[in-house]
Amino acid sequence: MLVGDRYDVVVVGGGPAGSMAAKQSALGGAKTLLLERDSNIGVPVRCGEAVSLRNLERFITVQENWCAARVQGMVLHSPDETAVTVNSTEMGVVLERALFDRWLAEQAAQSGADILTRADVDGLLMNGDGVTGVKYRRFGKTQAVVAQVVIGADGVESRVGRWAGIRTQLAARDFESAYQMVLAGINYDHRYCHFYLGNNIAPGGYLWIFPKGEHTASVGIGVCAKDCSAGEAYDKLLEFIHRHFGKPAVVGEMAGGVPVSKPLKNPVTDGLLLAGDAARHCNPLTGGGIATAMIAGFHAGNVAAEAVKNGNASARRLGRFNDLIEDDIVKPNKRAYRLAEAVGKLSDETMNWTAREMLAMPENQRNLRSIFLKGLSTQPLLMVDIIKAFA
Amino acid sequence: MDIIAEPPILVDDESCDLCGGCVGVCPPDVIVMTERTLLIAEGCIKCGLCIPVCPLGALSWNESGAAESGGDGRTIKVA
Repeated sequence: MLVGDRYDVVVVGGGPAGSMAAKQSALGGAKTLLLERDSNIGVPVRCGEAVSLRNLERFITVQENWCAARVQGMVLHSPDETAVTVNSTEMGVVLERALFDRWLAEQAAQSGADILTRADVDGLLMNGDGVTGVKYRRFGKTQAVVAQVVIGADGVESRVGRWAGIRTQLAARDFESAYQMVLAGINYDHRYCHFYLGNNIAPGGYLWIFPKGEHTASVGIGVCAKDCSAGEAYDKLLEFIHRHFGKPAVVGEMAGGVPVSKPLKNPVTDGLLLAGDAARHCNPLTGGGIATAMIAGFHAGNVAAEAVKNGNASARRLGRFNDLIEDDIVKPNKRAYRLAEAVGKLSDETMNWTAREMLAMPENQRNLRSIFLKGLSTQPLLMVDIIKAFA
Repeated sequence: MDIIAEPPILVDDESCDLCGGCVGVCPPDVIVMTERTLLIAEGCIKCGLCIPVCPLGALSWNESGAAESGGDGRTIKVA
């Protein structure tokens, strides 16, 4: 056997949340196992791959091999395609997630965690309501692993939480259906991440162009599942691509779902923590989930290791996780949710008007805060949220 | 878990990208993702939430009579 059947901590899922959790757990002295369903960590990629440099550098040193492009800001395109450039003081990075995730897993291994791919966790070991381990299938055979703490980092399609009785199901209004194509040989302004807004362009979501190189970019769309019909994400994206790039070379494509709900109220039960997309930690305004997954994984791993050290993995003890993510994830995401709700109700006319107003403003005063304040100026109750969200 | 042979929801394997989005929204948690396909297990409440959620439109109502009447009762046992 490549791995044992008894660990202190078992992490389900080898994305950023899972690898961060496994790393911290192992560093904290816990005997740790990370199980990944797919045959390669990082593959298939289901992500727009953009993240802020500041968020990355909080935990890791940027490696050039998984850094596809750096951007100096963003361009917001209104429904009538008025382009508003926002130069940011904060650099953004577009990742090569396949390499990034693999590197993060290597860091976890280096810290002492065991890792196994092709291990599809399909159930939990339970003692009453408490979680005592996992069952996984590998090449058709079921294996059981006993653990004091299980960390569910199994993504948007998470089932670990449900098996333990945590309600994780998403409503259609809190779910973005996404499709993305990696286009090559195209001409575009690769210094920026581009966002296209509009109720016809991307109902309840947005369309993006994220640089992967001077002539290569990820072009993707997220649409709210409540506002669209089957296959609409793909159809709308194709329409946009034809309009902007004709018939470009496609070197990759992927489907995906983005959870844009409020974070789970309590991602903790006896012997179990949920982190990242599994706990709905994705930012509901941007759909960005890499940074929050890393934060959640970091704290989950630390709390799990601490629980093992104290020989107490009760929900109460693990509940410390909730305190740790409150200011980092929960509060900002609730704020983002309120803003997303308001933005979702904006008419195309308001967005066009806002874009023109922004162009009239000196470029050095143009930032996300001023844009949101302008666009949502009829909703004074949101002012505090905007100011805090874009501090 | 029992997989329904004639489920109310059909999966077009040619279109499905196995992204798992539908799994995340399925209220009774009866969509099972294997390495190659999606399966619908017993307990589908026919809410249809999985259909618009799919970016590629790979899921659709099974219009055949068997499913309308609640399936033909045949189930396949998987581990």
